Amino acid sequence: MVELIQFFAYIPLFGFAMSVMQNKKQEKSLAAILIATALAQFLLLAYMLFHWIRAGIPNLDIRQFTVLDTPQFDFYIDFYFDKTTAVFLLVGTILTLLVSVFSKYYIHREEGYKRYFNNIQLFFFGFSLLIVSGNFETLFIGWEMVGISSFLLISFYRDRYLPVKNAMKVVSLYRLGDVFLILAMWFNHHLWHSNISFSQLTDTITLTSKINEHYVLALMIGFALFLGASVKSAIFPFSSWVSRAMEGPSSSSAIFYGSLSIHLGIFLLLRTYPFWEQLTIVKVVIIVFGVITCITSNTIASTQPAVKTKIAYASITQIGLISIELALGWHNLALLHFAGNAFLRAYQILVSPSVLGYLIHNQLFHFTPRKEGLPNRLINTMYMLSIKEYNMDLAHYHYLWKPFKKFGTILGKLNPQVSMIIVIVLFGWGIYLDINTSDFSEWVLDLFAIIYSILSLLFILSSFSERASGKNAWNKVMAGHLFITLSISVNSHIPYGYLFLYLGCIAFFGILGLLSLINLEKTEKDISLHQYHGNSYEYSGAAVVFLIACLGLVGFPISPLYVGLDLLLTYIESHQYFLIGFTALSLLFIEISLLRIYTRLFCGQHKKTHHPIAYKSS
Amino acid sequence: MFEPRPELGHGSNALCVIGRRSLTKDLFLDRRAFLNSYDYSSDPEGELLVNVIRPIGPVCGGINLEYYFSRIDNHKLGAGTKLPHNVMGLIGVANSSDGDLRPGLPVQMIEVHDPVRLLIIVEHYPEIVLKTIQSAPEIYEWYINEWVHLVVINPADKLLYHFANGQFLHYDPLHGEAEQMHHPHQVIANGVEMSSFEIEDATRENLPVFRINKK
Repeated sequence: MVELIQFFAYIPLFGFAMSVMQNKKQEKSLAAILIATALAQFLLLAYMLFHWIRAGIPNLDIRQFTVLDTPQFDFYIDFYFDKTTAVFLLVGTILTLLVSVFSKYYIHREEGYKRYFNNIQLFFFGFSLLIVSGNFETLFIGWEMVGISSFLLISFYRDRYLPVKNAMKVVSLYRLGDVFLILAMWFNHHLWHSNISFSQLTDTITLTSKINEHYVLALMIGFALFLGASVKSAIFPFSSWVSRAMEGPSSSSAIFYGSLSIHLGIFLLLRTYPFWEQLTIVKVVIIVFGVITCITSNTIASTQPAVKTKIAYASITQIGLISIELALGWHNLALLHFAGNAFLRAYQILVSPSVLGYLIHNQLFHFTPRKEGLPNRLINTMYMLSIKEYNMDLAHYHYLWKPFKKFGTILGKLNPQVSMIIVIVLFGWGIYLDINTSDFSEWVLDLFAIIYSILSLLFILSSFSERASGKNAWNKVMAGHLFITLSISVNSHIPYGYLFLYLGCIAFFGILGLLSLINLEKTEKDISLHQYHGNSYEYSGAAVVFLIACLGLVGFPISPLYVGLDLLLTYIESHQYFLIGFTALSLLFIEISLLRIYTRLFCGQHKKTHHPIAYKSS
Repeated sequence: MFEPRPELGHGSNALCVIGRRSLTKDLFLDRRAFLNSYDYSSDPEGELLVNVIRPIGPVCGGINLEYYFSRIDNHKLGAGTKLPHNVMGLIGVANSSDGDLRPGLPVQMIEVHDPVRLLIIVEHYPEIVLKTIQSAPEIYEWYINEWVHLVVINPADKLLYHFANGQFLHYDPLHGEAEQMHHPHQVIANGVEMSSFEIEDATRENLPVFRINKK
């Protein structure tokens, strides 16, 4: 039975591979593959559940295969199956099956039929892998895949301005959640001094002693997990992205933001519950934020004029309640609540366009005027706060993205020649330091490690606000990557094998992206980032290649870079807060900068007008 | 609205005939015509004609115009694709939360409709019809601005008169007689089939007018 769990990840992966290979015009076969994948997963799950329930609902764990095994770093893929997995997998598979059957005719004759089905396959694979994952590394693979497929589906109508803009907003917040999760993994590694699996968390005796020994570290893990989960599950103050995510076709919105993807934060908290249930502060924080989410989302939902955003906020309200339930330890109730919410919201979003039909009649003939009661001032205040969504989106922009963007623009004003010389000198010095680590004292190495990590952050922020040239932005991100590697290598010498593998991956994807940019420049002449170019209209193949290069450079699990990044972070000691802080910030802005280059060059309104173009506001 | 296709609506309508039903007897019009029964001999001064003609412009002509504009530029004048539509306040649709309200018809509706202006055929004396359409400015604007085509069959000489530049001019049709057919199914079966559509027997182009031969 435990050997079956891996197939829950293999079936969707196989489906994805089959779907990618289909011809664009073959609508029937694309839909058939998705339906077959979801159906096969469902049948396997039914079979598994039958035997699993008969065996008495045991918690199954299997260390499936090892990717990298070194004394201090042990990267393995682990699968886990317990009642949380069962419920989430059941709900997910049924909903994917439902949406795939619905989408077969819904997306008929849309340009991008294949793109849509491929993205749903990618999502299904990421989701399934995430749900059956048994350790953080495997979970993070699924987490990133779900994030990227969300980005691709929100910007499904990539030839309009608004979907692309909103997709960037959503993916920026997703990356923030990813970074919190990376930090939680890093903290975890230092707590346990090894890579643990979730089943090891159920060993209460070791766990309690560990937590009591390193209480602060455990607390940091708890908060990092909570923050990562709250970004994904749209808990206050991160609730604003859900309404902006409804840019794709209704069926994709239904499966993601109504039901599956939005509950993944809840899943993460459920999965790591044995860990943070010992930390009362974390429990209190979760309950408090759950209550705040519940109240704010409820008021926001009642003022929404549009039906899909109304459903989105109603879903978040329920998530607030679910998070309270799971902090209190009522897991069976939380799972039931999740299943109910997921099915309800999926149904509501799929049916939402016909609200015109049944609600107009209702409003016209059963109108009840608002009762007097509360003072007008209070009502108006609540209304204004709610309609502005408590200024969450504005706060994100103002306090999170804008300061860094401004900082990046300042850097862009430095003289390029002078800064180039300084950079080359520092880089050379760094390599010298790296080779002769034993000749220098601890604090010198620490200092230069921090300097190089700051330098990498500067490069990446400068790329984040780069407007003049897409190639420059790309090169700056590569430089940022090199300096991250240098800083960590100076800090504690990385074995040359891993170093060259890491740098090799960066070089591969970096050169791939650079070549596609140069190729684009040959025909388009203008690859500045002042505007959205919309080149995917004419160069859809180049768009895919460039996207893969971006994702590879980010550390997306399509290359050994994913393992490399995790490995690299373990070389940062637990007391080096500045180093991990700057590195985490760099990782956050690398993905945002790269996807920004991708969307500016390939998505958005096509700048050529030889075919009909939509309004920017449409 | 959550079922994007088929959207037949007022699909492919093109004609509005105001006259005796004997005018269109045995004609295959492929369901593209509004047929109003009106006998000119019972209304020589055109008093009833005013009330018949008054709604034709806004309703039937309006239908054709909305299909026309949504078809020629669906991104700006139409509503784009129906899939991301979000109902705004029960008064309109927009694309998701920040989009602007979309006027016009979505892509799924206009794909099966040829963008043509309505052709109105009235059976009465041209002078009476002229007096009728000029009786109110809101009726006349449809004809003087060429938002619809107007053709009159003069019962006196059985000839066609086309309304242009404020007057009725004699009009000679391009073709003489319509082709004969025995049954619509034959023609549909022989026609070029629509490439991908769930409706059975859907042809790629609209069928021309035929004269049905009952023999």
